[in-house]
Amino acid sequence: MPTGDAVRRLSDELARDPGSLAFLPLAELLLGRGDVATAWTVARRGQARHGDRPDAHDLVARLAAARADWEEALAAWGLAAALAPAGSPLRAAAHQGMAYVCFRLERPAESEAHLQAAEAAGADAVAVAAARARLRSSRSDAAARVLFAPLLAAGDMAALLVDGAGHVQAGECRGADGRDASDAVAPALAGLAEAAERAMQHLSLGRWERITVEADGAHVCLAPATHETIVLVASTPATPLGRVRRLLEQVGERARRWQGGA
Amino acid sequence: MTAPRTRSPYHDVVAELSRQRGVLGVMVVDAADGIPIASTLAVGVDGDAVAALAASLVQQTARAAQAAGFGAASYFQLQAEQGWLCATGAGAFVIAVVAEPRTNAALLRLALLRARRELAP
Repeated sequence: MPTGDAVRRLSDELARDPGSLAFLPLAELLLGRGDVATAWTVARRGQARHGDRPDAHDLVARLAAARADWEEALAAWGLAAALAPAGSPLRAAAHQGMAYVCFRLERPAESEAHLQAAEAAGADAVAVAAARARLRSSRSDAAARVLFAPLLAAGDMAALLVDGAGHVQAGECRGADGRDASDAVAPALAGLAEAAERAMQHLSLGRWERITVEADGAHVCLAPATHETIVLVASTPATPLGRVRRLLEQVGERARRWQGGA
Repeated sequence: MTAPRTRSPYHDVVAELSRQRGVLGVMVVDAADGIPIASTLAVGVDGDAVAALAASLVQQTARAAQAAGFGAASYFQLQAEQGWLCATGAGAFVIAVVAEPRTNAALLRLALLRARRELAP
């Protein structure tokens, strides 16, 4: 049955009987076609009606993780793990989910504890080993995160190395509220270097060297680092633009040395 | 009695910016779809492609700034080996200028921000 028909059928069923379990497959279908917002609404209503079901909490947890609402995901998976029978796949999956969330929240000890609980609940050994390897390599990730720290002064908010796919390679971006915005900024830069190169080709202006963006809360500068990566720096508007551009050069040099040896 | 105005504000903005020293071309682009509204790019340049790429670059960097919580972006400047691409958002439009390397980029910035106020007061 095509997805659209299945969504309609399940939606009709849920409308006729709001207490039915149709919310479970309906939210999965909606999530599968990228409609996270509607899936979230459906799942939360189902969770409220079926608070005794671990699969309802697991569903909400997965959707919360898709929305990067880590605390909500942690809470929902906690409920799923508490309700699921010992040794059940759902309990193992809930602990694996919590391990991942704690990894994202930079709480490695809790992450490891959940991996151990997942193993005890019968989780797939290969998956747990892979998660544990990621956790251990996060120590080298920590070193990459502070790669540019010695170059930063008061007023500097970001020094980031991003690859063409929009993944952070090194550095950090602190938003205006001081929170880590690296994972929010980097995807927005995917393909930027390529687009700049194409524009310069059409205009016959040679290679692009630097982009400067003036925003309400920051001066942002970007430049190619290697042929596959770009660097971004940002400082408060009070910082002289010349200083921001000098920082960009220094960050770029350090990024190239690091990538040369990485 | 005065003659009715026959030129659009976009063409006025393009004409004014084209008079700036070192300017090679000017575009007013629909920000939503990257389609040029008015432009004076040189013959042989793919105006549609440039308009779309310029609008995309401006919006992409503006989105990155927003994602970081840095607020709205007001000015974009790309420096290349052989010139500049400078742009600003003006409501539903992007105004972009291509200029020679020797252009006074600070004066160009002032002219662009003035033009922005013309189109999006």
